[in-house]
Amino acid sequence: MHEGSEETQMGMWAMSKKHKNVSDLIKSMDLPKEQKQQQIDYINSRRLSRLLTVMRTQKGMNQQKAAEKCGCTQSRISKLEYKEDRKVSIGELLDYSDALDMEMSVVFLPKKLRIVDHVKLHAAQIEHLLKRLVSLSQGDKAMARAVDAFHSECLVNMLSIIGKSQKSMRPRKKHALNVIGPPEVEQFIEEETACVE
Amino acid sequence: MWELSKADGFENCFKKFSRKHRAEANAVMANLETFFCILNETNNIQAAKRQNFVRKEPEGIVALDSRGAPRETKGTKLKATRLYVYAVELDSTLYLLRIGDKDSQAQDIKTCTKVVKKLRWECGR
Repeated sequence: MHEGSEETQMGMWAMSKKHKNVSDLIKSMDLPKEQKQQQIDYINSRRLSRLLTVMRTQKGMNQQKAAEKCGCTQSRISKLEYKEDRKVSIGELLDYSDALDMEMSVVFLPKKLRIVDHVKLHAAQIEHLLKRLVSLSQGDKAMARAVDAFHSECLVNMLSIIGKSQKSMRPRKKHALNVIGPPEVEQFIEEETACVE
Repeated sequence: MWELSKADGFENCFKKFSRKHRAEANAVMANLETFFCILNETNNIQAAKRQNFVRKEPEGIVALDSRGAPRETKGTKLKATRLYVYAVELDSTLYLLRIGDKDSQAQDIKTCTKVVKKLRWECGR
């Protein structure tokens, strides 16, 4: 970066393209295709360890605290957070999720599942969980009332989410601007128009 | 939602650096993705700065290192790398300023500081 070019840099920033993630940024760079792919592959190979770091940070925990809860050293936590996904063991994940007070579940899904299928899968899970809630509430009036209220809340929230998503696809209608001035101004405009005619 | 933006000259700088030190460049970009994910998930710059691959530099500049870089062969020494970034909360943008190693560190920080001062002035206008 030459110091002389800094004047133009600021102007360039205002116009420079913004990127949603690092892979997108790498794709936009003028690098050899094979190098770009290698970099993106490496970023993707650390998805799991990245998720662990983000979850720990969300809990407001540092590596030392996580290590204390895990019953291991801070350096083990550090190594885990930089490991490639293939090298992370289930045992390490179980210990880590315990330290974060979280439950870990393993899900096996068919390859190349479409987004629509994911939505359907979640819908089936919601149905299953609601059925469990209903069966739990049977025989307990207070709980039945709470579950009933929860159903209404769910219904409103789901409709709102789906409605918002659908609305975002449709183009916005352009409304014509209707301007009405004070009566004396309106009269003046009318008189002026009549004079011209 | 945060976004990434390259400073003018960053691409050339990155191109030169990654040609010589590919493993380090890969690792530093993976760490950048982690830093960026934390920003997006928590919207808290301080939380992102507390990661152990992050180093605080003057004027709010942040240097990300290449921690976690895999060694291609045993005994290979990896170059200590710094990717200089600057987060602007106002427009939720993370600016990529420069990439370099320990040898160019002093000059890199000097240049980045000047650029950030100008960026702040632009944002305040």
